[in-house]
Amino acid sequence: MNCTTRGLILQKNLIELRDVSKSYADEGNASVKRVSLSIERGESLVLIGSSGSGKSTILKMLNGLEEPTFGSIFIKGKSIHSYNINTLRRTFFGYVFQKMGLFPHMTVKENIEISLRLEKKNSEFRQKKVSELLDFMRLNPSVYFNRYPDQLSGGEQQRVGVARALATDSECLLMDEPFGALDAVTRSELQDEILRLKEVLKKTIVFVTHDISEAFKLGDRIAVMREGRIEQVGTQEELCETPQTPFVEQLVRAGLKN
Amino acid sequence: MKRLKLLLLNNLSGLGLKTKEAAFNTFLHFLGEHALSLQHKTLEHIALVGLALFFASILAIPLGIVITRFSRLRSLVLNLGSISQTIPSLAMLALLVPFIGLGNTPTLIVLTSYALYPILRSTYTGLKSVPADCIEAAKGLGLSNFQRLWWIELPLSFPSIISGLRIATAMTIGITTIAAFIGAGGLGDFITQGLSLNDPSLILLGAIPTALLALSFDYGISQFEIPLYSRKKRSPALSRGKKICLGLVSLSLIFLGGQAFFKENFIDKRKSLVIASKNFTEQYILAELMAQTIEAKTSLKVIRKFNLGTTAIIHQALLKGDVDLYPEYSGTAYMTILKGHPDIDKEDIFKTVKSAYKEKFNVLWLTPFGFSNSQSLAVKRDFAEARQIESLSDLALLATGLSIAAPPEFLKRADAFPHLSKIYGLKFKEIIQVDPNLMYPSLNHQKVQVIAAFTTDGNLQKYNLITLKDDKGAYPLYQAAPLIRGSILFSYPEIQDALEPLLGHITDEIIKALNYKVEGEGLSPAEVVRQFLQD
Repeated sequence: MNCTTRGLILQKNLIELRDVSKSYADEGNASVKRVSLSIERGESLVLIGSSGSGKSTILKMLNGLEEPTFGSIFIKGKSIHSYNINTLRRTFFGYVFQKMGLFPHMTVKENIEISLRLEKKNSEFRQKKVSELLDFMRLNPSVYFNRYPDQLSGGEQQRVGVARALATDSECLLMDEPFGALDAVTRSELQDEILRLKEVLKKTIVFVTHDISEAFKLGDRIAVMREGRIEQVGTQEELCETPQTPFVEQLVRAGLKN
Repeated sequence: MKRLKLLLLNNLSGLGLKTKEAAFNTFLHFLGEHALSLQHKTLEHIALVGLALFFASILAIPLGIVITRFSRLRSLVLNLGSISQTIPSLAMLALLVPFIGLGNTPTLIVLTSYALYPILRSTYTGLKSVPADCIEAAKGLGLSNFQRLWWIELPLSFPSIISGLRIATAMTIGITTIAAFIGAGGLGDFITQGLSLNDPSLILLGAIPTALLALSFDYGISQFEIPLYSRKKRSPALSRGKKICLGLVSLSLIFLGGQAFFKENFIDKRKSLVIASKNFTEQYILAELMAQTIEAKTSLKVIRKFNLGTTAIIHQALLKGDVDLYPEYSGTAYMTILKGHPDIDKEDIFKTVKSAYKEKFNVLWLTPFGFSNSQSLAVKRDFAEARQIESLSDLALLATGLSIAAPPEFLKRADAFPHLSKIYGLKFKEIIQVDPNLMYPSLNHQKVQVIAAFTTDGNLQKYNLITLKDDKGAYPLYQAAPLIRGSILFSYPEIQDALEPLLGHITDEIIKALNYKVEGEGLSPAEVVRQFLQD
C-alpha cells in the first residue's frame, strides 16, 4: 500500500532529487548541499545562481556525469541506478553543453546523428531525421549538412548543439548555460527557439543560467541557488512578490530593472 | 652513342676518368650493373620497415590507450620506452643473436622496439590533448567507454599518432641499414659492402636510396596528416581514391615483404645452403669461391649471407642453423671459440680444433684451403726502412712514440693484441679503435704509424706496407678451411665432392693476388672469383 502511494506521487514528477549533496576533495568544483527538488513532466525549470553556486553540478548529477556524495535521484519514480546510464543519457536526456561540445572532426550531420548511430538506426532514417532537425532549428540542411563545426558561427554551432540533443526524441532536455557565449541578438533568437520547441515538442527542460532575465523568459519555475543550497523555488510572480531571502530579493530586483 | 661506348670502354680499360661526361657514364654503368639488386634490396628494406612499423603500431597504440586510462602504469611504461631508445641498436642486435639467430626475426625485434616509443608517446600525447569538453559531451551523449575511444578520442588523436608514426618511419628506415650486419638484407648491404671493399659508390648506392626512401615515406604519410589537422585546408588534400591507392600500395609492399620473409624463413630452407662470410675481403672471396663452385656443381640453391659482423656472431648463427657453411681460420677458432691456451704446438691447432668442433658442435672442418693467414702488425715500407724495423721485437723498442689503429675485435680478442703486447712488451703512445675498413685509410694521416693486419691482405700491396715478422712466435697458425654443419654435410654429401678440387690449392700467393684484385683494383669479389674459376 505504502509503496504504491509513493510510486504514484513519484510518477507525477519526472525527476526527483532527494536530499542530494555533493562535495569535492579539492575546492575546484562547486559543491551541492542537501538539495531536494522535483521536476514535473513538461515544465521548464531554470536553475539560476552565480558561478560556483552548484547549478551545473546538479545538471551533471542528473545526467550521471557526477555521482552524488549523499542522497538519491529518481527518474520516473525509479532510482537512477536502476537504469543503464548510457541508455539513459541517450534516450531519456538530451544534453546541450556550455561550450557547445561539438566534435571538431565530424560534420554537422555526423554530430547530430551520433546518438542515432549508437541506437543503430539505419542511414535513411538518420538522413531524414537530421534534415528535420536542421529545418526545425532553422538551418538549411543542404547548406549545413557537410560543414564542419569550425566553419559555423557561434549561434549556428549552438543550433546544431540543440539539434543534436533533440535527435533521439528524449523526454528531457538538460541545458547548461548554452547561450552564455553568444551575442544578445543571437541569444534572444535562440531563447525563442527553446520556447517554441517546448511548445511544439512538449519537452521537459532543465535550464542552467546566471542571467535572471533569461530565467524569467524561459522558466515556468525558477530555482535560485547560492553556495550549494536552494534559496527558493517558484514562478516569476512568487519570486517577485514573496522573496524569501535578501539574495532572492536582490536578484529579482536586478531582473525587473532590465 | 658510339662515343658513349668508347668512353665506357676507356673507363673499363682503366684509362681513368677524363671528363664529367665520362664520370656520369661510369655512374650510369654502375647503376645499370646494380639495378636488379638495388630493386631487390629496396624491396627488402621497405618490407623490413613496413613490418616493423606494423608490429610497432599494433603494440604501441593499444599500449598508449592503456596508459592513458591507467595512470599507474604510465610513468613505468614511458620510462621503459625512453630507456629502450638509448640502447645502441647494434648492441641490441648483437645481444639477440645468441637467442634468436640471424636474419629477419632479430632485426624485426630491434626495429620494432625502436619504432615503439615515438608511436607510444604520440598516442599518449594525442589522447591527453583531446579537449575536455569533447570528452564531456561524448559522455553526456551516452557514448560508452569504447565508443568514446573509437569515435571521438582516437580520431581526434589521429594527427598526433600520425606524426609519431612519421618520426618512427624516418628513424626505422635509417636504422634498418644495420640489418645488413646480421644478414637481414636491405639497403644496408650496399653500405656495409662498400665499407668493406672501400668503395664509395657502393656506400652511396645504399645511402642515397635510403634517404630518398625516408623522404618519400615522410611525404606519403604527411598526406594523411593534413586533412584531419585543419578542416579548412581540406579541399586540396587527398581524395578518397588517392587515399585508397596509397593504402593499397603500402599494403601490397608489406605483403610482398611478408611473403619474402616467410619464404626465406620457412620454405626455402629445404634444398638450399646458406653460405656466410665475415666482414672482410678475404672472407668474401673464400665464401664466394665456395658459393660459385657449389652452384656450378650441385643442384643446391645457395643463399649468400655475407658480411656478418664478428666471429662470435657467425659462430652463434652456425650453431642456430642460420648458417651452414663459412670459411674460418684454425687459430681464430682455437682462441676465440674454444678459448684455448696460447702455448700450443702450432701444428696441433688444426687437429685440436677439428676434433673439438665435431664433438662439441657437430660442425666439421674440411681440408684447409692451403694458405695460412696470420695476424700481425703492419707499417709503411718507407717508414720501416727509415727506422730499420723488420720484426715485432724491433717495433717494441720504438712503440712508446707511435700510435696504432686497429679494429675492436683485434684489440679485445685474447689471442690478438693483449697476447701480442704481453709477449713483446708493446706499449704504444695511443691506441685508436677503428672499423676494419677504415683502418688502412687511417694510415694516411700522420697520427697513425702502425695498424693491425692480416698477412694475406691485398691492401698491404695497395698501400705499400710490410708486415712485421713474428720473431717470438706469438701467433698460432691461422689455416683457413671451410666449416660446415655436420647434418648438412650428411644430407648433401655432394658439397664435399664439389669443394674437394679447391682445397689445398689456394696458396698464399693466390689468395694475396685475389685480395689485391678486390682491394687494389676495385673489382667485385664475385667477379674476381669468376675470373679465377675460369682460369
